Amino acid sequence: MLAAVEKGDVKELAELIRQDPDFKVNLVGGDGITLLHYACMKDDRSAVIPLLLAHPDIDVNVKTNMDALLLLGLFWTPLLCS
Amino acid sequence: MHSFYWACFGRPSCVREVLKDSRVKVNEPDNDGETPLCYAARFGSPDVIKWWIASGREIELGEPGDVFMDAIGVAKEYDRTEVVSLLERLKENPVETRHAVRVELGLLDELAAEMFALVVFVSDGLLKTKATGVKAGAKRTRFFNIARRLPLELHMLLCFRQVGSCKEIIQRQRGCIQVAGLEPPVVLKLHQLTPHAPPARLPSQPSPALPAFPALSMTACQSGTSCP
Repeated sequence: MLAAVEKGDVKELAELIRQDPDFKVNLVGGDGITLLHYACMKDDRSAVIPLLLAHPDIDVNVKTNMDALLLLGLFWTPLLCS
Repeated sequence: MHSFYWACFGRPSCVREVLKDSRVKVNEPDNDGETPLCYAARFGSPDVIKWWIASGREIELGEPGDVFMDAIGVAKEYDRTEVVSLLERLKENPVETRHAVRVELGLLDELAAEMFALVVFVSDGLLKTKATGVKAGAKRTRFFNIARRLPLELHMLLCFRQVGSCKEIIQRQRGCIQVAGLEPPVVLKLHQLTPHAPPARLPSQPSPALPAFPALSMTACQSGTSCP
């Protein structure tokens, strides 16, 4: 699913959700973020945001469980350079 | 940090999508007490804040001197001159700033701009609860201020389906909006009439060069008829 979100591929993500309707949409990964956080990181992933927000179990206000500055260092700086 | 924080780091299209969901607490401080607007003021592009303004959702600018919530102060600290200018304009004159921002973002007519705002209200559930009583408070007032300017068919359109990009819908339909969910289907035709005056300005303020703001009138016709 992460790969589908990274590509901003709505169809692929929808198919994956259909195959596994019980997946934990709010699951915080090892990097401290959820699929929705990941989708919000880049403009070309924005297409999958409505799909994730439409999930009945989504918690749109779920927070990262890591320090903000550390996350910024991990994700934001590389994204700026991309 | 929740999803809206991430979107505020300079992702305008992500902000636009997230803003459509009323469950997102746009002004909620993070664990450090800093608000999303402060993140946007510090790291994000001005477009992020512009979409936020255009959506009509509440923006807490914070009190001057508050290190965690004073967005203008944060933008000044990081030399974000465009953001400072935008937020100061918003603080001084919210209505005119919202109008100018909507025009700048390509929401070139009143209907398109209000439709984007109404998507937020649909997401809020205010339109759906209209029949059984609208929630009290400021949102109710704002809802009626917007809603009374739009025809019933458009309300129904917004009740029946989520509108994606209102700009795209208007362009795709060549000046018509197909109203879904109605029997028989209805097409709203948009006619540009006389230029609509932008909000009044204070005499002391210089008048910025805004494009003419076209007024729209809408008439309903049956689906299948050709639209001009």
